[in-house]
Amino acid sequence: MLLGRVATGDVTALRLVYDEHAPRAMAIARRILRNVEEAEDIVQETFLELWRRAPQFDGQRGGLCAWIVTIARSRAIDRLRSAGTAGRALDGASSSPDVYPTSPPSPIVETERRLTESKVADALATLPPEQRHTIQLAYFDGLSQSEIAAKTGSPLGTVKMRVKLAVGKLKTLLKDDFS
Amino acid sequence: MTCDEFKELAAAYALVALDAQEQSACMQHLAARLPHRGCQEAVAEAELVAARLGAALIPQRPSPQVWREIAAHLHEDRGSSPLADDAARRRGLYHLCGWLVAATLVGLYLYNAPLDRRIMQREAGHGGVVAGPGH
Repeated sequence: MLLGRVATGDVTALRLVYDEHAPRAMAIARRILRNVEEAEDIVQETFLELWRRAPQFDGQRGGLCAWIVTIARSRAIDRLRSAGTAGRALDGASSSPDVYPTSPPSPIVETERRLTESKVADALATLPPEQRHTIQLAYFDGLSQSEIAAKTGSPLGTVKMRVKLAVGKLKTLLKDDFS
Repeated sequence: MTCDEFKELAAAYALVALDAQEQSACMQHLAARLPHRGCQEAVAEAELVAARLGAALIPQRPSPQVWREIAAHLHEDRGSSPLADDAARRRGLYHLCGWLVAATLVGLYLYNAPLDRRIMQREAGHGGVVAGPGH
């Protein structure tokens, strides 16, 4: 397995993982930080962390892509919050996606991505509007539940419940994709 | 924090949507060596949902400079990294084992070759003796 080779210190294997997954890490980091240079810093940090923690990867918990996206997203949100740039995200939250590919992906990859995008869009569309909005603010804009409550004027308890219910529904709706 | 309390927060934890204090409490709970009741699984499921949401974004290739910087870091760390040392040690051990196995096989072959020849010669000689009275 590729990550097994990374765990033994194989840089070539890391490069292969990077080529395959860095664009996804970049997409999520840029979506949250809205800044290319900062997003590239996050990608760099993500793959250095992957290099260090490769022996700890637990394939039972989810795929490699999920792990990388989780690391990149967590680091992007940490940076957003630690730099006090949350205000920027609050102001610009839920604007239309502003990410574009720097090079055209292969037709197969693009078809697969469009399919995934369509499934995710369909799944999000089935959520009640307030749950959908909450997930968008939490996931794509990196806001905490308290920040969402402040932004939307909803009680914190309500926001917490919306997050829980929305993720539960999405889990069911996207279940087939995980297998 | 109990496992049930943790599971209430698992979705927000996976989305990194908790406030710092709750996030820290959740991390401590997960790290605690106690018999958890589905805590890891709850987080794993929510993380999969989160990753799936991320997969809907248009992938963007970072500039080539990003990989160059990663490679430079790895190059710097390689000398001191315990991971690199471990890997190098492991590779060295594998090589040593390989040579030992090869040497053992060659030794066995060299030992058995003359032995086989002696056995064949003896059998040939013995066969001649046995065949003798019949004729």
